[in-house]
Amino acid sequence: MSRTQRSLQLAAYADGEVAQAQRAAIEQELAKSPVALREVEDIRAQRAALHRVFIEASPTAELSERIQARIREDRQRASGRTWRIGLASAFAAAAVIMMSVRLIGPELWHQELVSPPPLVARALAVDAVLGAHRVCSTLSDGTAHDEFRVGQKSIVEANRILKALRAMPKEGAALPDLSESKYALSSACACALVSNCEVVHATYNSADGVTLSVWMSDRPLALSGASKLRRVSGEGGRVYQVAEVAGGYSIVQWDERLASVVLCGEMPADQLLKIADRIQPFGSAARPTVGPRVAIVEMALLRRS
Amino acid sequence: MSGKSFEEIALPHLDVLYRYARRLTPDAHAAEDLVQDTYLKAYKAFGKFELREFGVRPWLLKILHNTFLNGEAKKKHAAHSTEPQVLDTARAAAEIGSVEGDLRIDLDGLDDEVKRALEQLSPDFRSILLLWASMELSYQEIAEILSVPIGTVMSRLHRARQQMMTLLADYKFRGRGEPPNGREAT
Repeated sequence: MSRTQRSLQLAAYADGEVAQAQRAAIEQELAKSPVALREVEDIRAQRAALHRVFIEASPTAELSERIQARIREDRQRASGRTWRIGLASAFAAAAVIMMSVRLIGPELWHQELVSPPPLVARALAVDAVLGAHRVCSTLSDGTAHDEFRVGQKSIVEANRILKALRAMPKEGAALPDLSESKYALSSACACALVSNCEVVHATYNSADGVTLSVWMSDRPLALSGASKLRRVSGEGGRVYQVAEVAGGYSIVQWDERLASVVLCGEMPADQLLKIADRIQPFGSAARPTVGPRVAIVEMALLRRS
Repeated sequence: MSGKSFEEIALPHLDVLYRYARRLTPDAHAAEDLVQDTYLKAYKAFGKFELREFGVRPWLLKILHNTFLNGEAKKKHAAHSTEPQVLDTARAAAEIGSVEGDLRIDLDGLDDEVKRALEQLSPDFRSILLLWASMELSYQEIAEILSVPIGTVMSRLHRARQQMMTLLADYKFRGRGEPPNGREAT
């Protein structure tokens, strides 16, 4: 047994975490070994010292009152929210109908390109993506995703809620259904990857426990900060930025209709690109994908004409 | 859920939550904010919580812990930090690897130094030490709160304890002008 393993065993003993049979064996050893006994005593002394500094702090009486007041406020707000969501859904449905009518003319595409000025491409550090992916993927109880927590809801229901709450960064965009790739939606939230940028972040899990993060933002983003950063052509003329990061993580980003989609997962880039190819953030009937530079050129032509 | 309100079930744990928050955060104000956020999140998620094996306290601690980590991550993003968490862990492990040895210090009367050492530890180490030492939680409960396997709890605790003793030895011996040679100081 290595020195570390021995220490772990003694610590487990000191913490009352060993079975009765093992306990007797360790106690026999402690009776014979002053070094082992000292180690157990030290662990207990450290625990006692930490406990002393822990109990020093006490909350103020006002804290409890403040928390209760906030909960009351939230309760009241929640009772009003149901009505607002209902109303928002009705407006959203009306907007969809209007959009369908407007989609007939090709000029709409160009008009939409003009609408969200200024066109800003921001550099998004690869580590920031990875950090956010790790933090959100470790939250099994969804505490970071309270606002748009989807729980057991289907992708259709989740998108309906997000739309009703006006949480999606781009009109017409929806969280992708990745069931074909064997990933089920587990949560969604408005995690800000960069300031001044509307982002919806969703996590998907596979049956074997792999978490995939998908971000959709309201403007083009650019990955930066990775040593292995490359551009890859994908389905439908998409141009992907691909970063591979230590630890087996890959990140894929592309722009679509002045929005950006970023994917992150613990898998080789080729595998992630296959998933990216299947994602249609604006639905399967999406119009041609145009990168931001092309979009600017088309917009200028339209203005001239 | 036994017919009790959220407040009746959750608020009795305010002291423990605040104490945990106070040692995780730099000041009392930040600790109060963290506890308040925790309660609001818990309240919103309460409908989906069932009084499981370990009861409501580990669940509240888990929410507090995750809220704290989220806040730390957001601060990092805001500062455009490009240092992934994995590097912190790797660095901490490397530091600890270099200080293997028998460190023995009498901790009586060193409460201020213990607090200072806690503040200097990484959030991972700080939180595991607090959960371990302060609330009589089992390894299984700590594993639940931190969402890690029990083996990770044991090894992380071991490393956290070692790093803390190294820091304490450093304070103590540096204060006396003696080298931190890892031998008995009392």
